[in-house]
Amino acid sequence: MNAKAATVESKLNWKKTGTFLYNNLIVIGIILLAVYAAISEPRYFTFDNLENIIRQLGALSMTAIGMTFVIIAGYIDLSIVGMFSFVSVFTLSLVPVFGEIPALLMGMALGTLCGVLDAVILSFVGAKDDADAVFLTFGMSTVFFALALLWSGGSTIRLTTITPIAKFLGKGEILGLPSPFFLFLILLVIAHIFLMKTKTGAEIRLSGGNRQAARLSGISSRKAIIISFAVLGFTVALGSIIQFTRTTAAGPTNGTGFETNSILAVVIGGTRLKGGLGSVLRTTIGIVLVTAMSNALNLIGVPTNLQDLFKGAILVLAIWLDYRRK
Amino acid sequence: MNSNSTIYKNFKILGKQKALVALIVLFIVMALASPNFLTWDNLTDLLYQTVTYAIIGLGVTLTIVAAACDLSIGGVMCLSGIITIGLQPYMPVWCAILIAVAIGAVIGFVNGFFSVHQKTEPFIITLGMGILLRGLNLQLTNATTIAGTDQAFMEFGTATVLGIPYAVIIAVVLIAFFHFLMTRTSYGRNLYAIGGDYEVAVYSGIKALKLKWIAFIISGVTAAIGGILLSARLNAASATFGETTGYVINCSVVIGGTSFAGGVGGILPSVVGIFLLQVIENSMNLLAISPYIQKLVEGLIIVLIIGMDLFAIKRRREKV
Repeated sequence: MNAKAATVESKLNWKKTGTFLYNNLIVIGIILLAVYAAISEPRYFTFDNLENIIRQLGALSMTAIGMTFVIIAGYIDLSIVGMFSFVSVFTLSLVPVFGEIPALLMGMALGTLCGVLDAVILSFVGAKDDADAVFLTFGMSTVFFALALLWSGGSTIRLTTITPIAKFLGKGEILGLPSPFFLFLILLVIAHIFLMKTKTGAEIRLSGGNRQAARLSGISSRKAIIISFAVLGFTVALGSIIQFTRTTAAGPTNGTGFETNSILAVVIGGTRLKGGLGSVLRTTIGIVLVTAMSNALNLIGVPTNLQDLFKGAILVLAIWLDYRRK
Repeated sequence: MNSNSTIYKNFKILGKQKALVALIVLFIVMALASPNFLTWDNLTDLLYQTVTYAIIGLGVTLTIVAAACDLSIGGVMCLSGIITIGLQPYMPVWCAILIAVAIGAVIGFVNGFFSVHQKTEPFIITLGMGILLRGLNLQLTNATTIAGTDQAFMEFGTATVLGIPYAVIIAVVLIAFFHFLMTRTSYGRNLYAIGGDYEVAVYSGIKALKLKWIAFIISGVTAAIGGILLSARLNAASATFGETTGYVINCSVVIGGTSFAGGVGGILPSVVGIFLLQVIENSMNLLAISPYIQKLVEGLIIVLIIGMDLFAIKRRREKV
């Protein structure tokens, strides 16, 4: 009797372990990759490389936090490619004209406005899920990209004099860690509290999880869409500021690849693509994994193009596992 | 009275074919506005560009009619071009072409596995597949443009019969075949039923899973054929040819009147939609509009058309 119970229990345990492995397949894969990188490349686990990883994290960590809001609200946004570029060239070109602080504020305002514009169009035409959002936001991305081209004349704009905030964000350190890291921590805490503890956050999660039920209980899904896209626009603006202060230049193709990487970070973190379920803390894990992966692949010496292939494959796999999990 | 009602009926048909009306109006306006529009060179150029996209659009129409979509076609198009051009030094061209088409079918099969068999969202899974293929294409070509070496293949790309390019003849044959497939065969009719309501189609005994899966495979194959024709005309292949092709073709199909709601539309409207978008692009080039403004117009058209389609679906949903 006892033995039988024990076998059942051990079987259950095995099954649990199996499910756990299966659900976290990609996470485990990336950790294995990092371990391999650490063994074959002693440079991987050095402090310099860690600092490097944290600096690279900068812009992506911001946009991925915003993308979490939109995906939890049940949508997806491809327009951040164009938006990122537009906000970059817009803000950088304003720095010499209006001074630094007004220019950065105007950049943030523009990012938020772009996000709200996306949301207004989506809710006006009654887009009901991420499938509808894919095409509309791609169109918007093209529009933003065109605006970035028109604004910059198609060329890269450079920051001629390094202003104080740009110096602080781009090169500065606090307690030996790059300063954008602390900006990210502040954003993370605010975003987490906003999403998990406030009424608006609850509305976003509910309307993403079950739109019908949310509507019947008197929650305006329009409000949830607009707020989540506004958050995304704001974080895209922050990300673009971090990016151009680091590189001291902004071009109309600055945003290339941010949509893939942000979605990848959100999905690998374990936020459900169908909406409703997820958190920015999970996305943080996703961001660290994606960045650690790129860094490991770089150090092992995998060419950039092959890395794109790798990322695409992981994205397909992650989406597939995400759908199987429920 | 009788003739009146016929006229009214015709008007109603015209009203439904917004894309066709827009196409005719644009043709007339452009003929008056630009002396270069109605020239032989320009029209052949336009035709070449359109037939490549139209062939790819055939398979895409099938997937959209079945209430799915295929965004990976840009990647498939480039990949098949790269394979046909890249394998030329190692084997006869027909062999390379067969391999390219087979790989297109395999990618379609994989897309179908994920989005039909596993019931994931086709929009997002084919988007991921497109990113994967783009990485593969960049890796295969080392991010450069590769040129073909086969003389016969190059000549085939620009050869004509009685003044008509081979590519156009192939396209017309394929369009006729797919039109027949969608309107006169049980496969086409069942696909409409699947797109209209998947569950109902399953309950009425249609092998919905299999047929929808086949639509994805066909989409992969037509994208591969389109890619081969494109590479034959340019005698070159590159990973950057298909950056936005996926979106543009899917949107063109919707412009023609095939809705993302599924179950409506057809081959001929899709061809009209694709032709319309190409004529718009060609017109903007002829009128020497700045490429940045062209980009802006392209984006606005996509937002407008998809927005109108979704808005119509929403209205229908609210009526029910």
